[in-house]
Amino acid sequence: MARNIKKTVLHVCMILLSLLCLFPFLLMIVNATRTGNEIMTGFSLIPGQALQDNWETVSGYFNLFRGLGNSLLIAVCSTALTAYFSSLTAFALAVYKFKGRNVIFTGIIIFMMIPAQLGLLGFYDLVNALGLVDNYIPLIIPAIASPATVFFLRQFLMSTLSPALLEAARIDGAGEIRIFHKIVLPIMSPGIATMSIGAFIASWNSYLMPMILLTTPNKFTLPVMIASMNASQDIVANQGAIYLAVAVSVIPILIAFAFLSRYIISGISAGGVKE
Amino acid sequence: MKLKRVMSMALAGLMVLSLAACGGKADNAGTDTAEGDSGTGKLVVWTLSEDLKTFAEHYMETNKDVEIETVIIPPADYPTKISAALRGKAATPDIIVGEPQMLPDFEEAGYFEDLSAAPYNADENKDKLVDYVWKAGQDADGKVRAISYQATPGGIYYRRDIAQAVYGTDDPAAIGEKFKDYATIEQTAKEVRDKGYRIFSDTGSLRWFAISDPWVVDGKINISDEKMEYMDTAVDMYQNKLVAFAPEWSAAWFASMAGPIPMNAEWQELDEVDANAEQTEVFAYALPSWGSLTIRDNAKDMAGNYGVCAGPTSYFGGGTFVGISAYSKNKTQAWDFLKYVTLNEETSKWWAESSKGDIVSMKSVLEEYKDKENETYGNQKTYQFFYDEAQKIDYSTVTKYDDQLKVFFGAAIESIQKGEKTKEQAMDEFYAKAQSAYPELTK
Repeated sequence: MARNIKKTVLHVCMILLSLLCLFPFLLMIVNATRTGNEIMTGFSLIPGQALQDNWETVSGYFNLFRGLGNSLLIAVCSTALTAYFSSLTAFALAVYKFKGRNVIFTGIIIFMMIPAQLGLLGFYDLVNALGLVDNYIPLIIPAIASPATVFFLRQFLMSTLSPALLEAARIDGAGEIRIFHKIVLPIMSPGIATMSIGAFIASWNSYLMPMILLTTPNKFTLPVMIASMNASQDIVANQGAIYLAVAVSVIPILIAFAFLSRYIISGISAGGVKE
Repeated sequence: MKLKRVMSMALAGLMVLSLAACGGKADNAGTDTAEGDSGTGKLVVWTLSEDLKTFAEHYMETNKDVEIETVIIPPADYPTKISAALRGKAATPDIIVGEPQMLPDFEEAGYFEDLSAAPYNADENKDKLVDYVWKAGQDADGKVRAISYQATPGGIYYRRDIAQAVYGTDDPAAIGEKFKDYATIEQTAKEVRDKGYRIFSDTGSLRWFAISDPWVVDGKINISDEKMEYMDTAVDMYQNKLVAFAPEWSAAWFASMAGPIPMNAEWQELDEVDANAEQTEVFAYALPSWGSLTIRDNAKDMAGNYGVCAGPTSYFGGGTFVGISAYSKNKTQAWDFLKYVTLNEETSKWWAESSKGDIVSMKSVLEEYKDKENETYGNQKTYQFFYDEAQKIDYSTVTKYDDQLKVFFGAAIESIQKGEKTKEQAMDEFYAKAQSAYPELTK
C-alpha cells in the first residue's frame, strides 16, 4: 500500500516535470501553424490554419532542407572528429607514462577555461590568410582539439580501464593501435556517446562562427538561415514562419538524443555492474 | 558484452565513413569558392533587411549580365561580421550598409570607399536628396561615405476619434499644439486621462524628442535643462499613471492600435492579464515614418481613424545607408548599383510604390507624391507631412554617442520611475556608465 502511494507520487511528479519540459516545444509547434499577428496578440494551444502559408514564407527565403543538410554535414563530421581524436588523446594521457604528460594535461585543463569567442577575430584572420573563408573546413577541423572531451574521457578511462586488460592484449601480440581500436574504444564508448551528444548539439546550435565565416546564402547552416530570415522581413508578419523554421531545426536534435540517450544509459549501467 | 562490441564497431565504422564523406564534400566547397571569386560581373551585398534584395532583383531585370548576391545579416551581428571581414581586407562584400548609429565606427575604421572622390563625385547629387539624409552619410571630414534611399522622419500618430472626444477637433495642426513641448504634453496627458484614455502606451515614447540639442559638445557630456525636463516629465507621467504601461513591441502595444487594452499589461500575453483590470485606450504613438506602416498593419477596424502631427522636436530614427567597401574589386559595378538604388528617380518612384508607403529620400519624388492621400490616416497627405518634417531635421545636433547615451539615460529614468534611486544617484550612475563606455568624454 505504502509502496503504491510512493509510486503514485513519483509518477505525478514525473508527469508534471515532463509537462513542464514539453510545454515550450508544444507551444513552438502550435505557433508554427499560426500567423504572426495571432502570435503577437495572444497565445493558444489550438493549432492555427497558417501552416502552409508559413511554409511558403520560409521556402521563399531559403531552402530549409539545404540548411538542414549543411548543418548535419558539419555537425556529424565535427562530432566524429571530436569523438575519435579525443579518445585517442585521452587513451595516451591515461595509459602511457611519458615526460611532460602532466604539463600537457594541465595545458588541456587551462584551455578548457578559455571561451571560444575570445579568439574569434584572430581565428578569422587565420582562416582568411589560409583562404578558407566561406568554407566548411574551419568549422569542422578545429573540432579535433576538444579539451573538455579529452578531460572527461581521460577521467572515464582511469576509472574503467584495468591495466591487466592491456597487458593481456600485449602478450597476445596486439599492437598499440590495435589495442586502442579493439579494446579501449569499446570500453570507452559510453563516455564517447555522452560527449558526442554534447558536441553534436553544440555544433548544431553554433551560430557566431558560421555566421562570421560563411558568406554564400546557400552554404548557411540552419541557425544562420533562421537569424537571416528573422532580419529579412517585418518581424510581426514573419513570426509564424520563424517558429516553423525553428521547429524544423529542433527535430534532428530530438532524434539524435532519443537514440543516443538510450545507448548511454545502458552503457553506464552495464559498466556499473561490472565493477 | 557482445552487443556492446557490435555497437562500438558500428559507431567506429560510422565515424570512418562520415570522415571520408566530409573530406570529399569539403574539397568541393573549396573549389566552389575559388570559382565564385574569379567570376566577373558578380556583386555581393551584405545588408540588414530585405529592402536591398528587392532592389537587387529589380536591378537584375534590366542588367541581365550582372549577378547580385544579397546576404541578410541581423542588425545585432552586422558590425561583428563586417569588422571580421574588412579588418582582413576581404574582397567580398562589395556593397556594405549601416544604420546611422553604426556609420561613424565603420567610417573611422576605413571600411567605406570615399564617394566624394573621383570617379564617383557623389557631391554632384547633393541637392537631389533630403538634406539630413545626405549629412548622415558624410564622415567627420564631410566626405560622402554612404547614401540612403529612404528618409525616416518621425511624427506623432494619434487617434482622430479620441481627439474629437477630448478636444472637439482632429486637425493635425491643432493636435500638434497639444504636443509642442514637455509641459504641454504632460498637460495633454492629464486632459486625456480625465476622459478615460492614455496619451502614450509607455513613457518610452518621449525618448525620440531628446535630440533638440547635442548629447556631447566639445567632448563634454551635455545634459541640458531640456534633457532634465524630459527626465522629469517621464518620471511624472509614470508615477501619476498617465500612460498605459504597454511597452513598444509588446503584445498589448500592438493590440492597442486596434482597440481598448487593459492598464499595466507590461510584457504579459493579453489573456494572462486580469480581465477585470481597468481598460483604457491609447491616444498617440511617437514613431519614425516606418511606424506609420506598423500602425497601418495593426489598426484593423481603426484604419482611417488615425492622423499624424509633429512633436516637440523634428527627429528621425533608423534608415539603411548604402556604401561601397573600400576593399571591393568591383567598384565600378558597385557604384552603378549604388547610384541605381539611391540616386535614380525612376527607382525611387518604383520603391515608393512597391514598398507601399516607405518615405524615400529623393526630393523630386516626395514633391511629386505630396498631394497623395493616405487612407489609414483619414486621407491626410502624409508624404507632405514627412517631407516637411524631414526638411526640419537638424542633423548638426547628432553625435556618434547619441544612441548609447540615450540608452543609459533611459535606464536612469527607469530607475527613478520605479523608485529604486533618487535623481542624484541615477544621474551619478548615468555619468559613470557613460564615462566607462567612452573614457574620452568629460562630465
